[in-house]
Amino acid sequence: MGIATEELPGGILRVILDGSLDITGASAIDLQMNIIAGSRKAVLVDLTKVSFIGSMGLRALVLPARAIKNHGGKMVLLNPNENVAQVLKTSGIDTLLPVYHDLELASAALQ
Amino acid sequence: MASNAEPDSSADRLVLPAKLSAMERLPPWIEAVAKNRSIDDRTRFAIHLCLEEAISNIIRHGHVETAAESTVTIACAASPDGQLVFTVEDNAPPFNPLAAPAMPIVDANGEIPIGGHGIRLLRNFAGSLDYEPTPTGNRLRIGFVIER
Repeated sequence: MGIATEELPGGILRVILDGSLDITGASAIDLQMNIIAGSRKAVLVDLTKVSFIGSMGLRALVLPARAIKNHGGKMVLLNPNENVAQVLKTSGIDTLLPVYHDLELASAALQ
Repeated sequence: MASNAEPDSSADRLVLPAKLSAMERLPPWIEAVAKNRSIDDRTRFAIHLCLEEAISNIIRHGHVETAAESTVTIACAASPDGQLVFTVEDNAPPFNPLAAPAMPIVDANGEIPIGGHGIRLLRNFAGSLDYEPTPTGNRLRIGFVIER
């Protein structure tokens, strides 16, 4: 599971995840996601290269999203594939953690 | 209800120590099963999701993490009704995951629960689910309709 970051205009941090967000993948990003959640207020998590997500992967997204919200920030998700989007929808996470398929719209939601 | 079909070959059976660290062996096994049976990507995703939820639930909540001799056995076989059925057996204390309530999507504070999504995902992505206790543990059958 890979994790990389990129600064976007407007103080937005783009977090690019790459691989499978299964139990092994989720544990691989937990620490870095926690660090990001503690220090940033506008976070865009790019799921374009995420091939799989399970409940531990959901946890790895919900925990930092809550932390960011608790200090006045916001986190959004970008470009999940069809299967990953179905998991987000089934779990209900998409109702409180917005999902976008367009980078400009996702960035605008964080302004 | 899923049938009690036997695995077609040894490649259709996986035995894991009941430890979360052993779960890294699950995705390559599913990949091999899917390739051998020409399973489409969508079904393969559902199989991976359901098996990860079922097995991690056993390991995390079945009180077997610390028992060195504890194992989880997964076997897959085609059933007469056209499903591919994965049978997950453990030697944990009796627990029927299908009787467990799914967590609400939003909790009383309007927040997304951090955990508790596994049962909901299992129910939504499996084609069929069937639980029975065994003399030594639990047996969960998870079926998937295979498109021909």
